[in-house]
Parts: sequence; structure tokens; C-alpha cells
Amino acid sequence: MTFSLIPLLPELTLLAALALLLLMVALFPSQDGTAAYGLTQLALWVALLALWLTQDFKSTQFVMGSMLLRSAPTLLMQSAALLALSLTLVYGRASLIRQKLWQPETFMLFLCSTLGVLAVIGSYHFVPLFVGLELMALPLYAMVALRKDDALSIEAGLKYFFLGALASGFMLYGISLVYGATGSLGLLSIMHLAEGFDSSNTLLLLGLIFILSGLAFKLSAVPFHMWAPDVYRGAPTVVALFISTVPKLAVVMLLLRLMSGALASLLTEWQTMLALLAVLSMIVGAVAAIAQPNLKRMLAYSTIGHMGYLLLGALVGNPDGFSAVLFYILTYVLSNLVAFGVLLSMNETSDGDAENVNGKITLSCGSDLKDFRGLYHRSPIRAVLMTLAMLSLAGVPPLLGFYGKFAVIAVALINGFVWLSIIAILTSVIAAFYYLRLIRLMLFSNQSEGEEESLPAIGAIPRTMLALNGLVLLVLGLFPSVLLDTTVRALAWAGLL
Amino acid sequence: MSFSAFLFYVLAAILLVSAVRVVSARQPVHAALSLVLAFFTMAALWITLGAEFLGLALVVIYVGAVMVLFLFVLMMLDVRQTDQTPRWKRHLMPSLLVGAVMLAEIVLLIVKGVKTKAALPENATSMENTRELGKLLFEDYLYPLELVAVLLLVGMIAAIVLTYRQSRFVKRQEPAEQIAVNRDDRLRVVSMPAETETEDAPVHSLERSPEKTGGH
Repeated sequence: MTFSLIPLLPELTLLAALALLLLMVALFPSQDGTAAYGLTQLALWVALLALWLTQDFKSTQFVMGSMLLRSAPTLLMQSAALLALSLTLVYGRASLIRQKLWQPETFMLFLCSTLGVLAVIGSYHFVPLFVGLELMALPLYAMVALRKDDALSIEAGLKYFFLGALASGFMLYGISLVYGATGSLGLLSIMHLAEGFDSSNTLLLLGLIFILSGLAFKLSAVPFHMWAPDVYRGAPTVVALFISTVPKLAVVMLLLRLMSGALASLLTEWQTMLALLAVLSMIVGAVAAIAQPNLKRMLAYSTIGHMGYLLLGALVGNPDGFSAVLFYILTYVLSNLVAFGVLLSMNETSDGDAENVNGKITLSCGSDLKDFRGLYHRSPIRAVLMTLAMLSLAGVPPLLGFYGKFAVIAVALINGFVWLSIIAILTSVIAAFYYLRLIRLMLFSNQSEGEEESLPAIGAIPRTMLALNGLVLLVLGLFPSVLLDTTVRALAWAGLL
Repeated sequence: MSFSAFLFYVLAAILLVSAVRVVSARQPVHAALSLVLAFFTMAALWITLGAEFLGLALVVIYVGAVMVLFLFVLMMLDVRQTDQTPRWKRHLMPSLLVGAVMLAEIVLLIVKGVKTKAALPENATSMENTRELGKLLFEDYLYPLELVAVLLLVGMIAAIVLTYRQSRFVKRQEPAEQIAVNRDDRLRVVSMPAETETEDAPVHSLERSPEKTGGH
């Protein structure tokens, strides 16, 4: 068997950058993160270029037997992952320096995790899928605990690690059951072998349940969401942004791929379980976020809610639903990037500034809601961008987030999931409360006395990119068909996810 | 009795004796060495059954790496030889039970026969294990294999990042540099003009200021 390595160029680029970073650290041990940052950005853009040059947008091809899939949706999601990491690092640069994480190792972990994300998005076989998921998750555990002297960070890392290991175990067990039922690990052959199976095949059904539990954990869908608020709060904000965007792209892709292909014969069971996950996630995401005094925890619950809407689109189980989900995840990632981008530009204190109150170490990390009081008077650009992001996440009409929610709920309604759609609309109204509360805090309340805390200036590049990103939310919101048509057409070209 | 049958009985006897020695030896080091022997004999048995790759992997991984580590740890720890008879008795019943269940399971499998979906290829014995495994691993599964390699690398990077305490942001002493220092690095002798009295020179009479001595 021979194969060409050309379709693997994007992955190989990231791998080469990783090797170069390791060499750089070995040769110049006392360097800071500047060179590593440059190299990482370069590698991401080269990988993006390689992705678009080596791949024909309209054709679907299998690489290495049927192990890897290269099609329009994979191209779209892989590009989104690379772009999202690039933007994350641009926004997070100042924050990384402030938190004393400006070191080459940080970037190595980012690169490794993204390599795993690319592998998951592009694989069509359970072995690379699982290894890719692990490669995606393992660096995340370390990244969450990167602030070694911060108790919250360590706690979050440990929690994430234990729960993540459990979820991986679930997933692997599910895969082994599917293997037991069908005798194959390749998704393509499973799709043929499992044709005509229904829920009377207990082995396959159990496999589906375990795999879905593992996926729901990675998506932080209720009831597998417990880790999310603590991890978002404890992790360095850059890492929280990364966790909330890039891995989600991969897991959503995997979910849709299994649902539309390999395990499509159990559609009814998928729908029952996804409906449960979706309803619980939407309700918890909307209600629990109201009580959060910390913006990072609030955004964690917001992510949980958004995953609920996403699963609502997925459970429809036809190409319309799948393309709506792809559109939704892209709108969510774009909006979340702006929200976290502004948060990253705020004055986060580093681990050295922990306050010891009554024997309990607390961190005032600049991400509490009260820190945003009267932000408009201190920094109009931050307040305006944050407002855009919040409106988009809440799903207020002229912005991109509205069309994401609209597409998902419309697809569910058309296909007869009326009650689920009603719950989705109600929860999005409840969720709008806490998004709008933050806007009110920023725009319409005066800064409390004695808090003349100056905000650090945003560098020219992050400011431009943030502004552009915010503009994209608005412009794509005015012309949503550009992105929506892309996802629909990508899916139609590919034929399979 | 053919030679292969003779070999099997000899190896099986050695295996059983060494397995019993693992649990009955008083000295932990002896038990570990018996385990090495058991692994080795097991590997030899597998090779006689035609699974040469599995046998060699057992020798390389378990005998070569895992058991050496075991022995190393046992020799580093100061394990006192104690009279273990009471603990023997306490664990006797559960271990007999577990052993009986395992035996029953194996006997059941052998008697009832194993029904597998995937039938073995006809000429399984004529194929070379190692070649087939290598082909599978480095052709069909090359991509996941490389991913696993990166995964191991991530484990290493993550462990170093999380445990390496001497951060480059921490100031620390370098004893070697401190010792190697000589006078010229630290001390600079400056010749200054002799002191001359000027009118607005500070008055050196603060030691007995009125506020301090006023109470007396």
C-alpha cells in the first residue's frame, strides 16, 4: 500500500513547528515566549494555506485506505480551528505575559492540542478518532493547571483530568462495544455492517450510549457539565477561551459524523438521548448563569446553554439539521472569541497577587462582573465590543448569533420538534437576562467610587483584530446567508460528514 | 511423545512452579525473580505456539523493563522480612474463591467452545506474525501510530511544564558563580578629594535633639 503525504501537510506543518519549538528550547533554554509565539502563528497560517492548497473544495476523498476523510466540511472545520487558535493567541498575548505564562512550553501544548483537533476532524476510523481525542484533551489538562502556584488553577486541572479520563474510558468502552457488534473499527465499514440494525441490538445500543456520554462530556452538555464552570474559572483565561472554542469544533464534527454515518441506523435512540441532553443543557445554561458573580463562570454556563441549542439542531438528524449545527458552532465560536477577547484585555492579576482573606486564598482576577461596572466610561472600545459579543451570544437580531439560533430552531420546528423548539425559545429569553445585565452594568451604571483602576492598553494588533472580529459579527449578521450557504453547500458537496 | 509435547510439559512445569513461588516466597526479591522466570517461561510457551512476536514482546517489555523496575524498587525499599503466616490465613479464602471462579471460567470456555464472529484466516500459522503486525502498524495504522507518538511527547512536555519549578522568572543563587567571584568584580576603589568644610554642610548634632532628651 502506498499513499501520498500531501493531504497530511497541515498536520505535518504543526508537527514540524512543535519539533522546532522543542529544539529551540533545548538550544536556548532561557528564552521567553516571543519567538515561540511567532513560530506558532507562522505554523498556523502555513497549515491553513496548506489546507486550502492541497484540498479540492468540491471533492470528497479518502486518504490512507478509508482512515482519513478530506471533504468540504472537514476543510471548513479545520480552517475554523486553525483560525480560532490564531485569534486566541493574538488576543491572549498580553494576558499570557501578565500571568507569567509567556514561555515556549505554553505554545507547544496549544499546538499539540490543535493537532489532535485536526486529527479528530479529519479521521474516519475509530482508532485515529480516539487517539486524536486524547491528543486534544491531554494538553488541555496541563494547560488548565499551568499556573502552578494558584490553588484554583491546580484544582481545576485535577478535576478536569479525572473527569476527562473517566469520559475517555466511557468513550473507549463504547467503541469496543460497537466493535463487538459490528466487527469493524472503520466508520465506513461500520456504516455498511450496521445497516438494518435497530435498538434490539443491545451491544450497538450500549456502545452508542457510552460513546454519546463521552462526547457529551467533551461538549459540557448537562448532565456531564459539572467540570465546566470550575475549569473556566480556574484556567488561565486564554486556555478557557481555547477550551470553549477549538475542541468543541472537533467534538461537534465527530458527533455529526457518527450520527449521520456509522451509527445512523439508531436514529430514534440518538434523538431520544440528544433531546434529553439538549433540554437539560438549555435550562441549566440559562438559569444557573444568572447566579454567577464571575464572568468566566457565567460564560461557562453560557457555553453549556449553547451546546443545548446545538444538540437541538443535531437531533433533527437530516442534512438540514447538520448544516444548521455547523453554522451554529461557527457563529458561537466567532461570538465567544470576541467576548473572551475583551475579557483577556482586562486587568487580570497574576497568581502572585493572591489575597489571603481569613485563611482562604482568593483571587480578584478582573473577571468578576463588578469589574465591568461602568466600563464604557473607562474604555469605550472594550464596552462596545463586549456589548456586540453579548448581544450575539444572546441572539439579538441584527447580529450573527441570532441567525445561528434561528437556523437551529427553524430546522427543529419544520421537522416537528415543536415542544423542544418552544423550550429553546423560552430558555433563550431567560438567558438574554444575564447577557443584557452585563451590558447594563457596562453602559448604564456609574463606576463605584474609589475604584480608579486603570486598564492596560490594548496593543494595536489585538485591538484591530478584535474590532474586525466584532465587525464580522455585525456584517455576517446582516448577510447571514454568506456563511449559512457555505455550510449547506459544503455538506451537499461532501455527501457525507 | 513428540519433542514439542515434551517441551510443552517441561515449560509448563517450570511455569507452574515459578508461579507458585511468586506467592509463596518469603523474600520479596525472590518472589519478583520467580515472576521474571514465570514471564520468561510463558514467553517460551507462546513462541512454541507460533506467537513469536507476542513472546518476544513479553520478554522485552515485561522482563526487560517492568520487572527490572520492580526489582529496583524492591531493592531500594528496606523491606523487613516478617512472619507472614497470619496474613496468609486471612487471604486464603478470598484467593481460593477467586482462583476457583477463574478455573471454572476457563474450563467452561474450553468445554463449551469459543464462538467468534471473525474467523481466523486459514493459513494463520504459515504467516509471519511480526511481518504482518509490522505491515498493519506501519502501513494501515501509520497515522494513528504517529499520533500516539505525539501523545507520548505531550505527556513528557506536560509533566515537565507542571513539575519544573525553577522558573525562568525566579531569581536564584548560583553558588558556583558566588565562589568564583573575585575582588575586581565587586569592589571599585575610588579616590576622592579630602573633605573640606563648607558653610551649608549639615549639622551633626541630631543625636541629642531636644525632643529626645526633653523629658530628663
